[in-house]
Amino acid sequence: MESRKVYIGGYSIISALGSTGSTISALEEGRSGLRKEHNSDVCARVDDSQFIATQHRSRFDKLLSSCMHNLLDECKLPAGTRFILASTKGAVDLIAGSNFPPEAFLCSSAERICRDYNLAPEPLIISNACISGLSALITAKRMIECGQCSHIVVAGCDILSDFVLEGFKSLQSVSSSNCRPYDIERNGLNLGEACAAIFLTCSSGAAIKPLISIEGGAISNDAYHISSPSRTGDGLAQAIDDAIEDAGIDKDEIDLINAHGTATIFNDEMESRAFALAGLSQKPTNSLKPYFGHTLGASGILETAICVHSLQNDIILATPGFSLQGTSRKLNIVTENISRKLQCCLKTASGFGGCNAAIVLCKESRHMKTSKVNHEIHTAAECTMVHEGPDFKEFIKKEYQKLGETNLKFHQMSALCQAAYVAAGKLLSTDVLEGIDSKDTAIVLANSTSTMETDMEHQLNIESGETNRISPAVFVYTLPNIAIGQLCIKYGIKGDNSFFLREKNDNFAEDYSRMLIEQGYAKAVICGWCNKAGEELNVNLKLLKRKTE
Amino acid sequence: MEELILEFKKHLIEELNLEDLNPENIDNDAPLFGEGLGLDSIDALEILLILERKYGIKLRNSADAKAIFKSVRTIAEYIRDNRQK
Repeated sequence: MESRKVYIGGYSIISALGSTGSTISALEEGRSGLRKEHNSDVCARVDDSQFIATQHRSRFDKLLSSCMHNLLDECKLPAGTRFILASTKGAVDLIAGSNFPPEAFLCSSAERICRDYNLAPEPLIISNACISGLSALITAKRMIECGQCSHIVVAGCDILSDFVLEGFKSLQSVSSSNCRPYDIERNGLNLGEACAAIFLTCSSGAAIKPLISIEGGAISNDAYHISSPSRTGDGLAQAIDDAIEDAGIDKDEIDLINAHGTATIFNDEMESRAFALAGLSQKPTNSLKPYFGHTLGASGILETAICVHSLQNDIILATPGFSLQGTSRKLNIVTENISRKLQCCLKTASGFGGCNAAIVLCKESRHMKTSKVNHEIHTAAECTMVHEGPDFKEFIKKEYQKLGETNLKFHQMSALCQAAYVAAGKLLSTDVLEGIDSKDTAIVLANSTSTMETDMEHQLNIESGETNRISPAVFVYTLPNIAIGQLCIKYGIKGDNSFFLREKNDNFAEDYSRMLIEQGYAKAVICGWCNKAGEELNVNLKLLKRKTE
Repeated sequence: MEELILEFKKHLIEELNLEDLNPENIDNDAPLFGEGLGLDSIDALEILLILERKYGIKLRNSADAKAIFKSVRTIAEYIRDNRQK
């Protein structure tokens, strides 16, 4: 049987450069939305005039809702269209001190959108740090390809907030001037806010013309460090190789690479090594961060929308701010817009937690893929851990000691991460992963409250008003997928990895993991629920494995 | 000097949540990062904050930090020579 194609049905953007049309014109004219603000930070901020009239309290909801409104002007969504939201922090502007209002949860924002725009209920939220947007596109592609659904809107959104800005400053990753990806003088990133939504459909009739399809997609993990990118680039190179293989194309067919290019010293260096490992150093490569900043959870979708525009209009956009190569491996960074016939585009991203993602977009692709074999699955291990009460610290310490190991980093982890770490330790106490290649093991975790407790801790640090109280070690744990990153480091796991948010524990993570094995994306998956909210801890993890003949 | 070294080790254990360690487990001259104690780049940023909060030392240049952060002793020496409080 042939597998279904996943077409772009339309897209809409709201960035610091305006709505879809204005953003694209600005990019083609080389204009940047980055501005020096009164406190001397350089950011790309969305103008409030872009917002439609809504009742929403949060800037996040205003931005997301306005972008969805614009998408519906662009394309007609069939009944039953599903919704996937990619974001790192959602309505983080509503968190004040130790007050975390219910509408600040990402699940709550996504549900409001489904109600307001008549999308199918039970939205999926993906919070995978800076690869969230690409993760969401890859997840949607797989769901459509295997026939779970036919139409999905994938939206990525993140707003500028003290929460995120002060966090990145505590990590010393922020530049005080316009970012310069891959340049010898690059010294950090600029944050931006944006929302972008892409309508994906299996119906070529509902798609934009010329037809653009997502032909390949893959996610990997460095298994190296929770915030530093791999020193070799092997994780990203693996995601790129897997995405190209998934697309069933040859490397030579790739006409351009839209890279992550945050302009931090380590990210750009890592990418140069990864592209060299993947044999793609000669390909015209750009980074779009100098136009609208690093928009975190939105970036994968925003930049993919721009790639779709590039393919449709046969234009490769320049990378402003780049003049002299500053990476150890040579890259072909585009410095002037190029008009050229384009067929295939590779888009990549990498993020905290050691995650990497790559997708392949093709124009008018006639390549047909046969749908993958249905591998059988068995549950190799299961671990349930429930606790209630104010003594979580003592509880988890005791459980950790039972593992009989010493890890200097354990006591630095957030409560959520400690819970995942201990539960996975129990799950993998015997050699259940033996014989399975590190890149064939995946991790898919889900919860409903994300990193609520760490969010409040970080917010209180910011509200202390003293910069030297803002702890980078706390900030990194405001990303739920850091827990996955720690498991990858501990067990050397380099395969697919995602952190999902769901309103309640409905087995979505397990069902999705089964699909990963059935379709051949993984041979083993550590999956399940891991939620820590207030005094309640609920963990249920399973190890699913492909049955061997 | 020995007193300052002990005090700094206590701050290190407390602020970096190195719960399994005692000051006597930390070798004054062993490397703090990589193969020594095993601290990482986030710990290095946290040490910068300790220096600022406890000793009033603002060290924003990470190139300088590399030389100073070799061991507990080199940090203590730097604190002795540069402390503001």
